[in-house]
Amino acid sequence: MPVKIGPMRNAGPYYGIPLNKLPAMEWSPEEQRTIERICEKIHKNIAEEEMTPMQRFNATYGPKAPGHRDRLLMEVAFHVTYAVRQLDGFSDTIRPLDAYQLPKMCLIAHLMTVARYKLDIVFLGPTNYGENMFGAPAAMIADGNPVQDGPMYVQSMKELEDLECPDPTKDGLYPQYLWWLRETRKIWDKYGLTDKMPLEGSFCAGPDNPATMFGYTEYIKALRKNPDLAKKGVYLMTEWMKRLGKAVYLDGKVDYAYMCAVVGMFPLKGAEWVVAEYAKVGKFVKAAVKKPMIHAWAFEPCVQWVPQMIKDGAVGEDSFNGIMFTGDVPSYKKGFDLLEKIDANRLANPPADLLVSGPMSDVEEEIKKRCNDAKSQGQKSKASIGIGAVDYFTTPEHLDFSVAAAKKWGKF
Amino acid sequence: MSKKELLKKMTQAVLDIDDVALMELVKEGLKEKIPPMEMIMEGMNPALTEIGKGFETGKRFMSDLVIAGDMMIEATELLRPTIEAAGGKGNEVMIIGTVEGDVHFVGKRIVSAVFTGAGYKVIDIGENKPAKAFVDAAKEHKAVIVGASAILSPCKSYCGVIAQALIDAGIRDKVIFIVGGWAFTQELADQFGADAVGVDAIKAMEQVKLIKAGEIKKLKDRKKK
Repeated sequence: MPVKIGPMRNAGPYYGIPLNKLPAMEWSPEEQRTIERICEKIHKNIAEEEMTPMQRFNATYGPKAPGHRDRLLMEVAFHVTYAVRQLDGFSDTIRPLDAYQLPKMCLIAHLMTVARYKLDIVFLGPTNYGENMFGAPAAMIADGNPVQDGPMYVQSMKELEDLECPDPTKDGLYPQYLWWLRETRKIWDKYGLTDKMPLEGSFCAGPDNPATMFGYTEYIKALRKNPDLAKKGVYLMTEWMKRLGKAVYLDGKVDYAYMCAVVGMFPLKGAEWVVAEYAKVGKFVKAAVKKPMIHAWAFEPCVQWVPQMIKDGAVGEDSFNGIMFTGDVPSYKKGFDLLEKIDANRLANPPADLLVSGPMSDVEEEIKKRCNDAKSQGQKSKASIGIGAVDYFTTPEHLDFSVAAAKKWGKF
Repeated sequence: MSKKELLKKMTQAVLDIDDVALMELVKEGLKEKIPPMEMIMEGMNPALTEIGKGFETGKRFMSDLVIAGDMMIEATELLRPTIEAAGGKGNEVMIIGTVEGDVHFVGKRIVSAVFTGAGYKVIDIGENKPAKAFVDAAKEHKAVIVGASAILSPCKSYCGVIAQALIDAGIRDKVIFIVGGWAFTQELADQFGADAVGVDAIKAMEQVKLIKAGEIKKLKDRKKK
């Protein structure tokens, strides 16, 4: 059966072009000058510190990690919505849609953000979550990533059984995404940054997020009322995650990637079988690419899943290296303690709304706490400090302060 | 079974996320002529509140909230004809919608369920709605609460457009305007002209209760010196 990709309203000029037909990005003299200046600034930022971000990254995630670091690696998660604010000087002019439709804008916006805030990693977050990859209609909207735009295609087992797993190099918005990653790597190579700063991609949204097939509510109901349907959907998502994960590294040419997922949205009890799917994704992608990768979780109850994830091999040397706990997981320390026991990577972010509202003294306390937790074993800690996801309304001053706090309290 | 037993079983059915059991109990309650508002407020609402508080502490799950919320809404729809035939409450109206540019609805549905459980008649105007839709619905149904959901951060500022539209329509003082969404801070809510922000459904209800009790001032009164 053919792959069934739903329509994507408002998709932009590059939609539907397979990756192997997307040519090298051509830059006008003005754009080239912009990129050159951005890269100069990034070099200058790097030179201000004792170690390069890549050295810190290798000491945290590399095959010989943990290694000596001047400070904790800082992983700042910002999405397209925040990146475009650098392009228009916070004037609410350029919409996220513009960057979603036009990967060249997306690329410049992200590099500008890295340069402006002196970041350690180029965070190339997802530009969509598979909204139309399994037959559902979707639409690009002005201020966020694409959304579902009509009834789901999958209503029963019949539709699900007819579905094939898509190809990220050909289907949906993914060729554009991989193109963006690939072209960022070319810039990195050209301007001597490949050995200095890691590129981070993403392959979201996890095996048990067949929301893109059924919708959230229907999937939750299926878990209880129609487990065969739920499982079939999850198995298909696992295949998709494996393909996308591999493509992000091998076609997108990134050094590192995360898989965000809805772990903690549902109870573990009754869903233990899902953990095996996470392990399948982790082991497959790791074996194929042999580079570091982590989970990214945003629901507080996710911490309850950590022991099962470790036990079933969804975290480990031959799988995901560890877990990023976003600011919505206040009890991240319990997860840290479990991950520390198996020497796994870990990081936690302060609450995103705190970065918006302040006061900055509270932000500093939250960052300090997370840095101290990350440095619990000193240089033996395979841990980092995180910030994000940076909300649209986070002022430059607040982000500057947060980054400075992370660098200050992250020092060994 | 006694009314007390039936209401207790309703609470447990919601806590257990057992939609089949809940609907059976509601039908039985209707047969036994138990007042619908008692079934909502004393049977179902305590469970939804408990699940909501459990969600805040990480003991219950988003999936529980979503399904329990849907169960409440479905049960309330079954009870609505009886409520309205009796001319009873279910009368203070809340209008809720997702703002223009945003199409998310899961959080809004949970809020709808919590307010339904608290005895409000909740009218969900849908997603991606312009300010006019909020105002028209508020006027038509004589709403006492207008709720605007904005999950996408850039869309939060549209709440300011809604606030102004309520002022221009002459009904701003008649409603409590509450907003919600990811990372929606009190400062942003104030900036965009809302009386309160609900960081989650339970807190949204608490904020409204406090405003109604006079323990928190509406925005206009907070701005008076």
